[in-house]
Amino acid sequence: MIKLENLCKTYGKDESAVAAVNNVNLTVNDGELVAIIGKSGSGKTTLLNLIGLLDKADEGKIICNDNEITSFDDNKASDFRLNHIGFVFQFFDLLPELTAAENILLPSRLAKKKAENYKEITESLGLSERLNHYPSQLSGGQQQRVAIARAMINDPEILLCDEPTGNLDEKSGNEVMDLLVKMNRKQHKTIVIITHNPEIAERCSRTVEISDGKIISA
Amino acid sequence: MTLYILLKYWKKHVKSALAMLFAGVLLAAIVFIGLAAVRENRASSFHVLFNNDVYGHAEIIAADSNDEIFQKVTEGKSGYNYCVINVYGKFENGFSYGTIEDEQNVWHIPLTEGRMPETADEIAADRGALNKLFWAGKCGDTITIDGKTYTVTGIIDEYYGTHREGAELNDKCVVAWSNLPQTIPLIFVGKCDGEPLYRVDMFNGLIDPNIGEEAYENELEKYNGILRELKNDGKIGWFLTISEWGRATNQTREPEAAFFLWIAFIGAIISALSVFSILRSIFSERKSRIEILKRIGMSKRRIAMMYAVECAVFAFIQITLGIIFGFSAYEGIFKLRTEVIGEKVYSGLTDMWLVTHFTPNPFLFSAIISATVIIIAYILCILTDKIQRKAPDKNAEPRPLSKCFKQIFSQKSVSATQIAALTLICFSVISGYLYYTDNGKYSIDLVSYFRPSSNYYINGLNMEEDNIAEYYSSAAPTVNYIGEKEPLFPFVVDNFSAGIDDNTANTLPEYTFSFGSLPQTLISSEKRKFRYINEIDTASESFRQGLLALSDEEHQNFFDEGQLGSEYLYKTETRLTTSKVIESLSGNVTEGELNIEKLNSGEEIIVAYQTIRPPFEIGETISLNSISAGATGYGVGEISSAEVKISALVKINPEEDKVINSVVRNKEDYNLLTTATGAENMGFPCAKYTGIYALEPMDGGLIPSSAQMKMKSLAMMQHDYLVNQLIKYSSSIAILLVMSLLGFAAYFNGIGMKIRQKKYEISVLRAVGTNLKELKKKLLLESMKIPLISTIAAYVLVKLFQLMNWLCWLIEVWFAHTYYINNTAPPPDYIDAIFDVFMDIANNVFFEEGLMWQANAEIPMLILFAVICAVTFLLTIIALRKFKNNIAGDLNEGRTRQ
Ligand SMILES: Nc1ncnc2c1ncn2[C@@H]1O[C@H](COP(=O)(O)OP(=O)(O)OP(=O)(O)O)[C@@H](O)[C@H]1O
Ligand SMILES: [Mg+2]
Repeated sequence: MIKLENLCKTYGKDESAVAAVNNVNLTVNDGELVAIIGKSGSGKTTLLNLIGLLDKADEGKIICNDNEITSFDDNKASDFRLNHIGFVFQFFDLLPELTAAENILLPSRLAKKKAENYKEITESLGLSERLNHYPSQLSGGQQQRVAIARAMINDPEILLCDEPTGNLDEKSGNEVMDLLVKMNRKQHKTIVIITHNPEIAERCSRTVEISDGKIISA
Repeated sequence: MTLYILLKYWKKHVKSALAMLFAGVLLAAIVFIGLAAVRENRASSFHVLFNNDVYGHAEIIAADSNDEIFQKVTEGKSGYNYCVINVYGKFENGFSYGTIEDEQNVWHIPLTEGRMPETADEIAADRGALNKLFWAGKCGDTITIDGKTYTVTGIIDEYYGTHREGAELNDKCVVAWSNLPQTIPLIFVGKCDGEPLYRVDMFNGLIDPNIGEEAYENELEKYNGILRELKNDGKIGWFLTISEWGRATNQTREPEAAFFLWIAFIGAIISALSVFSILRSIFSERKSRIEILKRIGMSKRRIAMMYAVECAVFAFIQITLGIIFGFSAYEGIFKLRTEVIGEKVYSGLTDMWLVTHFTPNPFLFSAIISATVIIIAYILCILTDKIQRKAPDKNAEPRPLSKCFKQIFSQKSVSATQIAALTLICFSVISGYLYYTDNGKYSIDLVSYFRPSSNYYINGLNMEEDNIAEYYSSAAPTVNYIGEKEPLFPFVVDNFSAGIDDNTANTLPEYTFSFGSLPQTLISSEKRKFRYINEIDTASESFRQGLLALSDEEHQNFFDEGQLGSEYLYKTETRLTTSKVIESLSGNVTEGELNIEKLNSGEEIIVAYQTIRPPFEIGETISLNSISAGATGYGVGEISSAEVKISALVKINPEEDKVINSVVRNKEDYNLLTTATGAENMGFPCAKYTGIYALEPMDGGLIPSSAQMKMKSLAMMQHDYLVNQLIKYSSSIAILLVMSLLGFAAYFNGIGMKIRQKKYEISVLRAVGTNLKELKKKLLLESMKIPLISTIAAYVLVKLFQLMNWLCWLIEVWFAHTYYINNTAPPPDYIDAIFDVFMDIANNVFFEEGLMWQANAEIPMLILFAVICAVTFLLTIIALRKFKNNIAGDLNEGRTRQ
């Protein structure tokens, strides 16, 4: 269960201040598949970053599995990111110095775990042929799929996906979505997906809409 | 538009720009300082030459000219340096004196101390002249010449006077002076009233040497003609023309220069490397940006233009700043050396043609070199930027984590340049240390041979420890000895007038101790006295024959009954000191009483002793004798005898007051003690004080020149020692220091840069869950590798260098032993020739005379290693501290950089 209480995040100061996340209260139950939608610049990524502890909230709390993760120090936070969440970044953020395979395997190696699902994930994401390519040698969609694979490799309970299908054609997008839905159904993963695509949002169990940092419908 | 993009980019990357400029400025500055130092070296190598020529740095010198002649010589030219010396007359002993105008500019008078005089009551004088006048002062003391008292503001190098024709300090001096009106003064007076006897006009730069050697010599010949005519007509007394070209080819090489240039060269390489490494990083940092510019349609030509503009701007800024910085640093060091330390050096920023013509211009070459370096760096970076990532290998296994980390953080070119730079710095710092240190080297070697002792011993006293500020001394009486066994029979040779008497001694300050000695005095007695020591054995017939043979006619009866020679003689030194010192001994009197009047009259005498029982009794009368040598310098010439009463016994503990002890006691069990007046009244020759200890600096002018005393000043000796050390080391050490500090700074600069560049990678790793602490540990270890590798590499280089240095030394020693010390046969010519070449290499490449292999390289190496590691560690930590909680922000920033 992820519970957000009065979460606030403001960028900048005074007149140029942008309230990217403005007093958000939200509960995502275990095993839920939640879609977050909203206009560009409405604060979706910021919200997801806060949950993933990639950014510090100005105010409010995030409670995850009975832990108040907002008070984690860097040690605990990195451990949390490594073992409990998978994050798919909007802009992939692959390490250019590593091959696709190395990028995917990175979290499992950091956690000193065996990547048992490596083959399954890469195959289902259609990456088998591209594993020894460097990110700069991959297409945008391929990079996105590598990023998704990386997020899944440690088999986390929570997946935070920032527009995971944004760069994919409809067919591949649907395949990725199938995979996510399957993980949600079969393994009861909690998944939060940011999307602009209404079809994808429809396939989720719940849709949350954000505007100007506020939840307008949940 | 191009400019706008550039400006925007650099505004966001101020730190990189600063790092780049730092290295560039450093390069230009080091080249500048290095070349300025080369010029300085060249300039100071003319020092000897100017003094051998004696006329300073002037090409044409004409004596006794007037304005009309002046016009004729100069032909109305302008733009030359000109200086007049007026000679007013001569002091006693034949030293000419005069005034000089503009002495620093034209006439490089080598002052060993102080400055040239400015007012009428100041003088600066040649040390040789002062010695000849028996003036025992120092800068700031007074001197009385011809009844007029002056303050001495400067002392001119002795060798200025002794090497000069017509002004030599010998017996011919007076004659020479009267014959040669052109004598240049040995004593300069600040101002002088009245008409000078004659004047000397000195022209420098009348002929432009840049016109070429042949034209120059022709021009010089023309002047020779004009001046010769004038001299033949009797219009000038004398003239001299000196060829700058001749001087230039006469110039000798300074050995320090080689080592020094070598260090500067390394410094320049280091900064060039850092320029390249930083530029390399900048290029990789904005590679994607350039890609974008290309994609949005920027032509290759415009991109090239952009680089060119950027390169030109960088070059311009770094050259300007570098020269300003190098110039100020050089001036600063120069000021420090001349004004604070008091070293006498020429500046490398001279406009002396002799120097400028034969050495590269620091301004021009620092600009050229740093521009070349930055252009080459740009070209190299543009070329290497094209290298693409290797094609994917289908069958490759993913690399293990450690390899991945290595791949992520590898910055090969930056690391390689950092290692190269650091290795070079460490190598040059350590070899500089090995070259200059005396630690662990044989004490008698070429390096330390010329160094004055740091223990300032006089008469068994250490001036430093015993607080003697100055020691004045004249020659002590000469005593000749004859005999077959100790103690030998003494004869005083001269009845000299050197030293001071009580009248003068009493005018000296409280803190002075005047003393003298009559080592020849003999106590005579008809009966043998067993308590007395140093009985002279006169019983042997051969001794008596020998002594009489050397003695004057009227003393052939010396050993006859009733004569002095028939008595028992005890050699007993009589020491002399002032009544003031004797009065201060009252606490040491064990028996008897001190009566200064009776001492002075010669009736009484004191005994200073150290034995348990005193050798004399109070009231005992002794016969004291002094025998002056006969015409042969030995034997009896004249006998002075006196009957004196022992009035007091003083016991001196030699450990208690070392100065008093050294004044009143000799090394024997006992000696006699009285005042100079007392000894004189006893009729003894040489009864003068020939030594003075001053516990504080005193005015040496208080001692009349008739005393013929010379002075040793602790402060002066200490200063000389310091200056000597600094002269030897200062320029090289200062530059070595500045350079290595700046070089280190350049390296340290790269540390932050490297981490800044990997900010994005670090953020991604953190975002997927890497612990920041772990990451920091990895990065720290990574950055510590560079000092480790560099110091090891430098150590290997240093050891190799020491090995070479040692081999050279061995070969030299072997050569010396084989051909000179064992002296079997002189070496054949061809071996000599080969050896010459070898020594040239040994000295110039491996600094054989530096004996660098003898010094310990390990300890400084370890210290250096520790320092570099510590600073690397600190700087890495500081650079890593930037990473806080805002991973998302860092990621965002990284993305736009990508
Ligand atoms: N580091 C930052 N500094 C300042 N403002 C920021 C920063 N990051 C985001 N913002 C601002 O916060 C607001 C929310 O940004 P956010 O990235 O969360 O939008 P988003 O909903 O994800 O938009 P998109 O659908 O385009 O990805 C935007 O107005 C953005 O300009
Ligand atoms: Mg977004």
